[in-house]
Amino acid sequence: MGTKKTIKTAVIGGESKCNNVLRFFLQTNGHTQLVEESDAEVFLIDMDQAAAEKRLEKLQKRYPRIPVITLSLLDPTNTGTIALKKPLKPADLLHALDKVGKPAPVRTADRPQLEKEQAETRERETTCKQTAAQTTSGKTKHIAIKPDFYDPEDYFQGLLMKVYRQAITTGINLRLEAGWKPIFIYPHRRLVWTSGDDKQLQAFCHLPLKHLAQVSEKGTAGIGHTIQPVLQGEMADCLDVAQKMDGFLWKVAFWSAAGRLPHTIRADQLISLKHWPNLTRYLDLPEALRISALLYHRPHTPIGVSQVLGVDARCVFGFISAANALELIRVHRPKIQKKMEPPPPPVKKTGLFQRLLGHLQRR
Amino acid sequence: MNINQYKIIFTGPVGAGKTTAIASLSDDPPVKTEAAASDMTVQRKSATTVALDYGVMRLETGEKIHLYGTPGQERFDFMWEILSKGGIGLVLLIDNSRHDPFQDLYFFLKRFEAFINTSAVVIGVTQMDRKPKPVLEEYHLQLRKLGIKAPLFEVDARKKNDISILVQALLYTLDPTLKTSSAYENHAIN
Repeated sequence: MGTKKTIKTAVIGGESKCNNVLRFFLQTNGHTQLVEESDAEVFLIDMDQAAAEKRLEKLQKRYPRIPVITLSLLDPTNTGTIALKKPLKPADLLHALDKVGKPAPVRTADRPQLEKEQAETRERETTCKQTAAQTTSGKTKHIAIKPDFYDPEDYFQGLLMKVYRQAITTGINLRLEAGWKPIFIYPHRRLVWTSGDDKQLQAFCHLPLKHLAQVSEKGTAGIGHTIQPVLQGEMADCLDVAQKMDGFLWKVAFWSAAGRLPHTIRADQLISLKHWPNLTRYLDLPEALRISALLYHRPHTPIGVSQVLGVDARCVFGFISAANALELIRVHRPKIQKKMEPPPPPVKKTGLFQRLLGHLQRR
Repeated sequence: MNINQYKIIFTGPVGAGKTTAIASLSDDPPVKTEAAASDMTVQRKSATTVALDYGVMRLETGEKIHLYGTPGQERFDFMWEILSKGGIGLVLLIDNSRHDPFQDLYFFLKRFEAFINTSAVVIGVTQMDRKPKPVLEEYHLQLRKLGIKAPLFEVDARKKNDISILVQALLYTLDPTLKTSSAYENHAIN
């Protein structure tokens, strides 16, 4: 035991009898070091204290790769944590700590890479939003951009699409657990339900699955994905607040893409929309109406859409990724370029339409 | 200025939400010409539009966009052609809870064919919360069969944003290069 690495552990939450006992235990057992949240290699959280669920969600969002040990009188309901049931036995706690403490944490080495990827994702999204605002205020700034690509299979999006297909093909209601909140899919009603909110989902969509797999290898319970049939009557009450499957996939794909194109579509390839997305019910994406109109009107390349509309390419790519996930994108063979119809003649009432549009959008 | 040039026509079967849609967009209290339904219409709603609905959008430049709703009952369909002459475009509302919404779709697209060919049409499907089927995908299939390219969305006529998106889609269909208003976009992305 003496050769064991000390595990830096943070007890989350304020002063309470349980937390105080935990802190005392961690300070005195010789294998753990009590540290602040920011320095922790593992978190301990008492789920029976007030607002513990919210605290846990925040924690998992902020430190998605750091294992969490939860303690509760109730049966465990959280995924992505090691759950210990009270009354707590010191041996169980030590075993759980031991489990997350070996092998030597890859977290320290991985964190910069993960943080780098997350920072890049944030940067792509921010630029897209900023440019959308610049474009619309008449200060369009063309940003030279080298198209970036992603493989949906590397993200939660790929897994979700696979489970959608499975549910639709078999007609069986499925429960997907993939290191986040469980997701219930009801193919007959084309509904999906999860208890997580959009902010958490967005953060989860950014994470490549390989990172989750690494965490899983570290021994954190419940991170690897499972697909199971929904039990009879399970979560039936939640259907009233469930989301439409297509709308859910639309935003998952947009967030997974983070301003990139799916790897199956080239930036210089002619594409068009098979039909308009159901924009009244989907997550509102920057410039979605304009991009839809242009791509439905006639084929353009992704880069061409960006140039014609004066919209940052990353906004266009994000839209295309979302539409492609819903199978709304048609890819054209190069020969269509020769047959392509000429640009439409200028519309006579453009000025009026522009003013009317402004009137509608300002309301 | 010929004010006849600046109008948008709302059409669709009885109870599809034309009156409500116009009310949600109009800057002035809409003029409703409803009366107690006395024929087959009574099965679907207690009052219905017997002449037409009227609303107006007042642009900052002083221009007016007139919003006309056609009476849903077919016995008034002689008015439709007069009403649509010179309009910007057509907003077709289809009530998904009716017995055969595709028949309604064909009927109205056929009756307004000449107008659509010289302008544009957008389609809003209402009452999908009450009756989810047929789904939008099936509508798209029907439109493809008819060779009609049109934006189509699920809408709730009571929601201003839904009707606004419909009309915006109509405008972008007429001219895909129109720019987005900054006020809207800043709101939309935040």
